[in-house]
Amino acid sequence: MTVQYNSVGSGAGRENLIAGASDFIGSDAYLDEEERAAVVDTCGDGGAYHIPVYISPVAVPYNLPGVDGLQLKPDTLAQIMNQDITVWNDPAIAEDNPDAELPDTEITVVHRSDDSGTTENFMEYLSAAAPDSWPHEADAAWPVQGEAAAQNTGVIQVINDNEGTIGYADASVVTGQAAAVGVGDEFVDFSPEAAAKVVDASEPADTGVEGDMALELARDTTESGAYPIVLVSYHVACSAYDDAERANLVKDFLAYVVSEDGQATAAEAAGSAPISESTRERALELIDTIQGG
Amino acid sequence: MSKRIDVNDLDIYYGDFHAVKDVTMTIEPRSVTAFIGPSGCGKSTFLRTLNRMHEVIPGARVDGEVLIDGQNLYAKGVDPVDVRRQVGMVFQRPNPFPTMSIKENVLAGVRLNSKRMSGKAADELAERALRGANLWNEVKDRLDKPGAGLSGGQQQRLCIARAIAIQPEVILMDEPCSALDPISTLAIEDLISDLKTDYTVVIVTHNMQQAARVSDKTGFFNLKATGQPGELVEYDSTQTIFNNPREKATEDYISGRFG
Amino acid sequence: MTATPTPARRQPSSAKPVRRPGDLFFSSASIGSATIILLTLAGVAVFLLIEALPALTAPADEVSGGAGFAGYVWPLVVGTVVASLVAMVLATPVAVGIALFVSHYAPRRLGQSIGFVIDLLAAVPSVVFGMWGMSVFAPRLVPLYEWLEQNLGFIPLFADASTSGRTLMTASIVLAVMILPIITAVSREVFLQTPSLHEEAALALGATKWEMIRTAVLPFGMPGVIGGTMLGLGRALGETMAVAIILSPGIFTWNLIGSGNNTIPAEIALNFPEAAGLRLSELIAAGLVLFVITLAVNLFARWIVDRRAEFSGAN
Ligand SMILES: Nc1ncnc2c1ncn2[C@@H]1O[C@H](COP(=O)(O)OP(=O)(O)O)[C@@H](O)[C@H]1O
Ligand SMILES: [Mg+2]
Repeated sequence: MTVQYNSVGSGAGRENLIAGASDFIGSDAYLDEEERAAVVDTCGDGGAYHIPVYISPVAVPYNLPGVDGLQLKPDTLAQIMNQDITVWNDPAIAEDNPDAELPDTEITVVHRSDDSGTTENFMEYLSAAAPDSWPHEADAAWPVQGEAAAQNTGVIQVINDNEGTIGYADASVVTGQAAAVGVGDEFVDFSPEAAAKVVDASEPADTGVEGDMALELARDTTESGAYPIVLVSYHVACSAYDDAERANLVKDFLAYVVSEDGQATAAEAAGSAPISESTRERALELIDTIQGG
Repeated sequence: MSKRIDVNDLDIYYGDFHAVKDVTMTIEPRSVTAFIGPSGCGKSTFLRTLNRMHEVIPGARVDGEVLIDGQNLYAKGVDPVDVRRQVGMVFQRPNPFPTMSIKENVLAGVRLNSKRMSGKAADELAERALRGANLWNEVKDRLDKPGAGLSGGQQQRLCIARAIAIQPEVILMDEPCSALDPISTLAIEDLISDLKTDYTVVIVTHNMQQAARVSDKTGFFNLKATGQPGELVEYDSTQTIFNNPREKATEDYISGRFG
Repeated sequence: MTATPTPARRQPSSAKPVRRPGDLFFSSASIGSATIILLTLAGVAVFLLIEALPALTAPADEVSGGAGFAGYVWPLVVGTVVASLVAMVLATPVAVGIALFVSHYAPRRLGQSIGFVIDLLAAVPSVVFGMWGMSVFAPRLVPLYEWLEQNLGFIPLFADASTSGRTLMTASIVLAVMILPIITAVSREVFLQTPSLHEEAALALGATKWEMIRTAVLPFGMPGVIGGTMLGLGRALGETMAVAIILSPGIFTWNLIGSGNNTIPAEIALNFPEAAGLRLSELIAAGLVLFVITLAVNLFARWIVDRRAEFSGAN
């Protein structure tokens, strides 16, 4: 037997799991209530397990020559993204960056032109951390008209090509400057460790499945050194399979993915942050409870 | 309207190939002059030098002079476009413009030369040219139909109408009947006899009866041997050429003992 | 050319016509191929229709944009058609000019080299055009767009200049470059086919070179040029990657020199990877609309060519 990995979007993946076309899937979001109700048909009454496997910080890259180490509080960032702040020397930005010489350049916000989990995650962060400044509901499509580019790499390309730009992109592709984001009273740069920290600080989501590891990410955390804009990818597998061999195969594969080895491989290939030791232990325990036959 | 042509020491080349050698002759106005001779001896080539169509072929050139009423066509500063407006040409295969109607075909040359013309003037000119080419009665009801829809003989007369519509001084015809049936051929021959009242007509033909029927003077071209340039062997009144040629080669060719 | 009937060399009328094996083979092979093409086309149409149905019948507020499928797709249709038409209008005169130069003006050698270089352009992958268009070409157009805004800004098409240059206009210009080789190649071939009989007819009437081209070459080549243009238009209508990379898409606007708008193929290429459920159906329905547009364009081209068939010289 072999594991065949089909590359489709998260939404299509979740559909496949529910339809029984895939034995387990990867997804940027945990199953919503409707999907959880539906997945019972294929996975049995125990439902599906979410196992966090990849943690990717979402960075806030910008291009503003002469301004290094830009710092942005969540509200300032949200107002920039919503185009309520339109020039770089706006007082709100100046307050976050007391030492910087801000030019009066116009701000160009660069967003994803394709539907994307990164966009949805970033918007979730804005909604949670700056609810007063960000009026939009999280969605895979960006809600504000601005400069748009395809994929993370396209966003970075446009930002690098054009002065006065700022945007959001998976941290692994960032090649220039990225803003430090306000957390509590300090500003935190993105890093694998800072991203893993926010995962540890997050509460489990209530999926109604015993021991499930779906997370209610603590976007508004004030924990020191945690970077709150992260995208957590789960592998979603059934809690029970009707075929023991299948169950063992899934367990083996998942165990490898969360192992130090698997995480290191992923970090190298995709630039994701490794999960912490405590997360790994809990994940292995959960994987072990998957039943077959 | 009709003009005299003097050719002096004309040599004609295709690149390095010397096609026709040292032609000197005088073509009289208001007459029909015919060129006969075996295939490949340079009749078409020579004819095309009389309106500078020869040089359209890449690498083609001439040496010598062609005077029309004393004006050298090949003098410096003479625009071949002007020459061709004075010296019209009819080709071996009828070649009306396929995308144009009968009337547009007749007026094609005029439209190039004089930019504007009233609708009435255009109609009159088309009628005059078509009458001049003995075609009017056959096409007057379908002037807006495509010219390519006519029979071969009608197409050739359409081409003659197109040529005379720009009122040239000279009309050159290169085997104008070779692609036509006998009845159409007769129609064109009649037309040629009519045309000489107004134009200087020069015609190439491989048909000796035709030359005898329509022409006033005849030139006989020949090759000494293959690979050698063609030459004008004898040039005289058609009477003389056919009844009493000076040269043996001419006599052989006329009597069918040759070529 | 007139199709001359083959000389009657008839057998006595009682004898049946002989079916030679070669004829039989080729006629069944060509009928078979034609059938396969039609079946494939019909299959694609049916597939698109079935997959598109959920989006076509979904309640208006569930479709992206919340205004039903028609509300979702019409800006994309306008964007697609505008980008392709602008590309065609820009590319066709240039292509015809190059084709004429190569076929009638340039010395043989030079003409062949230029033809070769233009053909090479067709081999450049569209992603490369996209990257070049976005990073190199778009920024260089910004001054032009600013000039247009300042001087022609009262025209809605030039209302507001983009600072990055990644606009529908830029995408159209790059599309024009991409379809240039197709139109040039087809035009060059038909121009070279012009019977020298017709060219000489024009020259002998005292036509200058350009007049000869106008009276003999262009009318003769027109159906071919139209055909090439339609091939180019088809390519422009279906181009995904270049537009997806160059254009900064967004909501519909008549402003061609700012960000905004999108084309159907780019919309599909961008969003297909993440699409599921109704969103997927929307994208496929958009693809169906594109299919219909392309079909309409081809029928229109056919109609144009047929309208003058009597005068085509091919009778
Ligand atoms: N376009 C051309 N290029 C090179 N040689 C040519 C061309 N046309 C004719 N010739 C040569 O010139 C010579 C005369 O040809 P042509 O004038 O057509 O003869 P005719 O009309 O008397 O049959 C022939 O040897 C022929 O091969
Ligand atoms: Mg000849």
